[in-house]
Amino acid sequence: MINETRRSRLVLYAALGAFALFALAPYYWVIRTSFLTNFAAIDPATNYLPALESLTMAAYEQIWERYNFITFFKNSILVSVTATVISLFFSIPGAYAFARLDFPGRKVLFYTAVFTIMFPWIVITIPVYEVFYLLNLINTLVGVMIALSIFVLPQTIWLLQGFFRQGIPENIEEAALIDGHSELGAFLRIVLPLSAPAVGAAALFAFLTAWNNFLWVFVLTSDEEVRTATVALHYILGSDVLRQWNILMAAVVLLVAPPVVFYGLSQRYVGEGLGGM
Amino acid sequence: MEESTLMDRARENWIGYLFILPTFLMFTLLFYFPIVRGVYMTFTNARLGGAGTFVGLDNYMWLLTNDLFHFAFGWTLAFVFGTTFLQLFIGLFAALLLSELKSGWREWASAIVMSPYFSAPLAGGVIWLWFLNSDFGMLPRLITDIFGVSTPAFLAEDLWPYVSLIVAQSWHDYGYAGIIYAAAIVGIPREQYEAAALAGAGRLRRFRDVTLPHLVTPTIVILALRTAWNVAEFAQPFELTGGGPGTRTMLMSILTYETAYVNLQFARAYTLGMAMIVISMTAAIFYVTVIQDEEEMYV
Repeated sequence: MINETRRSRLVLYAALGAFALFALAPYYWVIRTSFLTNFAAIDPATNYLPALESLTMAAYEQIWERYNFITFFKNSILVSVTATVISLFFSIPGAYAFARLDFPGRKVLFYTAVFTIMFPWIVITIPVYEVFYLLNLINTLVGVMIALSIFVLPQTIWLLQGFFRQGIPENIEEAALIDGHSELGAFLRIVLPLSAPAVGAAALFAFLTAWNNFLWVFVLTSDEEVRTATVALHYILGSDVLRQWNILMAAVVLLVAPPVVFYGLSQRYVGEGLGGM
Repeated sequence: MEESTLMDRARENWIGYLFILPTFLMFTLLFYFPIVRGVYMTFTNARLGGAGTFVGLDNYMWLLTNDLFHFAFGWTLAFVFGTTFLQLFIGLFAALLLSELKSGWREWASAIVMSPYFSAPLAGGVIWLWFLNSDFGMLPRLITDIFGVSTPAFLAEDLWPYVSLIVAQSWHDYGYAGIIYAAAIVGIPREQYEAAALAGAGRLRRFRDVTLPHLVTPTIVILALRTAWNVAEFAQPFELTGGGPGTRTMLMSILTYETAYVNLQFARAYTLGMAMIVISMTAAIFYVTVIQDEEEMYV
């Protein structure tokens, strides 16, 4: 930044390189395995960087035949999209009210909502499971959708209220009211369009969180038809006697790649909102 | 500014209640009610499908005399302490390095450096299981190739499973601290650095006098949130060791899971959960205190 030298640049790049290595080395081993045959993957004679001709897409082709991954990924997409839409529907007005409207009781509600974001989820699954059991929602996609919507809701409110609080000019609603808009109109016509990038980022995060979630789907389902890809991975790892490591790692790649790539493409919209500040 | 009365505020901002209502209903149905219901459950002997009868403090007595609970509680505290601080320091270091890059490069570099945080925690468990695998994993092979020594089983022998769990969890979640720190550092006005440099402050001095004061609030926020989330962490340790070998790496979250869904002892599981809640909510109180101060600046 200021009075930098070539040497300090070099140190910086070396440190960043070491960091990238730490972040990527575990990924690398997974990716390497997924492009090998199962035999080559566990053969100690295969180099760290395998020869080009030993690479194969076989694992990515077999994964669809060996396991029901079409269903798993379809379920993943379905429940994640639903959870995103539902949580946005609830959180956009909710976050707006928390951030911009000074009604009595706001603080109490706000701080109880804070506690929900920090509550240990495994504990709350127990009474929720009981309720879902009585409502016959166990082992259904609807049950998973409801659970995941609630699960991502606090975080979505968080991201959005931070933006509504800081990203939108003060008194813009008053200006809109003077122009003859109603309160609702001011929100829908002025505030919402201004918030499009923040809503996009919140939607992305809601999707990723639902997609990555293991606990709820694992607890609430047991049938293969309603399993998501994340949970399927757990069962495959637990069930195979003769493990097909290359197929398993191909599944990991397919599961991890979308969130990581999406984040890479959208991260400039995120940042501070993550801390709820 | 003149003081407005409660009624004035309610009348002026009535629409706030309308906006908050759907969320409030959702929270009531799936947070507030279940939490209260669960607390009541701890005084019964409820199992799956049966409401159970009132048993007073039996579950808590069971908890206090249970050796596995004692162990899991202590190990969870160690796990949370280790992971939270490692995540904080690695994240801070990452953010400081990234802030030195030019905008444009910075986005790409941070997408790579922060990427572990966005992988599914369960996948993180599988990834490290494979990375550390004694027969085919990368790390044991590297160590053997470079130093010519055979490695212990990282997920089974001696203290290694504990180290592996903490390191793997830090790998997965330092990105959270990194992202928040990076946002805070980018927000520091450049003039402050220039003024400090003009006054003759070196790099370290500038970090201490200019950067550090801006990082106090983010640090407390990260500490509080990560403490709560590391207590609750389930998927990655569950996949990596599942509390094993045996019950040697049993965390509170895994023990709660097994009590509830393997033994179907719902009431006892929630009683175990109460211990987790106590830790998380202590962290939450710190968090609220901090953001409350912060909020006063906007309101």
